[in-house]
Amino acid sequence: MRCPSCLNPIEESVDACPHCHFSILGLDKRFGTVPRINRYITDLSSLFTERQERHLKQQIVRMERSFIGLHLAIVTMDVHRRFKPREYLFWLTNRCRFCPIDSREERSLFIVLFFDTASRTALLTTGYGLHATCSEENLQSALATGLPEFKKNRIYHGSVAVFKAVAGLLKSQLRLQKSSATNPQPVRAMATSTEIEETT
Amino acid sequence: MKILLFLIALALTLQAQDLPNLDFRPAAPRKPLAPLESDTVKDPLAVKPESRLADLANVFEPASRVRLTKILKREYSRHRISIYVVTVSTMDAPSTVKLGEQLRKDWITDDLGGVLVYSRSTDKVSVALTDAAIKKIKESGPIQELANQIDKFNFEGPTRGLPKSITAILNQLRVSQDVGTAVDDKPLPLFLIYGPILIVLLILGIGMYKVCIILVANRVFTRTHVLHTPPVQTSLGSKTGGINTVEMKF
Repeated sequence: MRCPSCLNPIEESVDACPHCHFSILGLDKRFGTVPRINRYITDLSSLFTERQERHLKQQIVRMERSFIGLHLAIVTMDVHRRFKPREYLFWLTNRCRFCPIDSREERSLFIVLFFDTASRTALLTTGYGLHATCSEENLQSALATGLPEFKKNRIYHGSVAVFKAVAGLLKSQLRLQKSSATNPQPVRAMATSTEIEETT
Repeated sequence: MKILLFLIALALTLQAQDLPNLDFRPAAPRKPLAPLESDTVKDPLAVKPESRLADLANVFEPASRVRLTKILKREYSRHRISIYVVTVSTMDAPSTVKLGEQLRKDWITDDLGGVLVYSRSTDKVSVALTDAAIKKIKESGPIQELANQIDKFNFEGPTRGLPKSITAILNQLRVSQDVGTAVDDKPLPLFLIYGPILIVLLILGIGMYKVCIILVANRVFTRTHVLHTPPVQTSLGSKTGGINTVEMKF
């Protein structure tokens, strides 16, 4: 787990980052009003056509049917240059509901694909419920599948690729979890990636 | 002298006027004389009427004439039964029979058909049918019955009786035609063979489609994975997550 601001590793259940004292309470003052976010796709930067939006929504619904409890969303936004996209997404995921209003227990089972068009950055984040299933490495590899398309400004195609990779990742991880539950094996420490950013 | 010559010329001229024409050149061909009035009146029965009705005795009203013509033409176009109706003013019974036979031979080239001749003077109808028509009628029933029917209709007058007589003949011929075609044992039309099969397939298809919709709605074909929510944890003041984030510039 890393601090969204300074990217230093932090422990679970800390109120503020021990390195930069970052916490969500400070973000409320900076970002102000919470934008209106749709359940599936919020295209504030108009990166998708209507047809593409419809297809993406269909794919999200299909995935949510396959993984019961999971909530997926895409947000495209023009984040102000003063703010870090990672901080903004952290604040957004905590202040907006990406799950239906009536679901109470599954609020932390979400994956959000976020595009900041100002800094041309794609971000992929998960809720607490998926920390065990989707490590940073796995998320990084899933996001990397869409990068070639993002570079060509084909955001829709890249998003589809990312969602396919996420679905594959979830399936394989859930299968692993099942097999480990039936045949317990010694836990191996997973290598953590040091650098995540990839600049073009 | 001059006076003498003048007198001689005058005398000769006067004499020549009394002489007959002595011109021996061949006469120019004479123009044919205008035909007499009696010759211009053509025989109205020389050519078969296109309307299949030669109402020489003016028996029918215009409306009933049109109706009768329609029936006769329709029967020919549909069943190839060629019937002509002729009405004459003054003609005795043997002559109407003779005329009917003559017209039948002249007009009817098709197999099935006949000529009905009505004489206003005798108020009777004579029917001259082709050999094929007679044969057909005999196949389906006794011809005497038809003759009796026509006689019966004759009492109703020409305007009402004649159409009925024609209908009786046509019915008889059509029945015999149907009998003939039934014996041919023609194959059924394709839509009668494949129509019910198509309807059954359509119903089955709709049923299958509805069943599929129900199964899909119940997630029968979808392999589902249930994600379990871990106990609530908080970090950096967040309650749902968003810390586990990766980013890439493009």
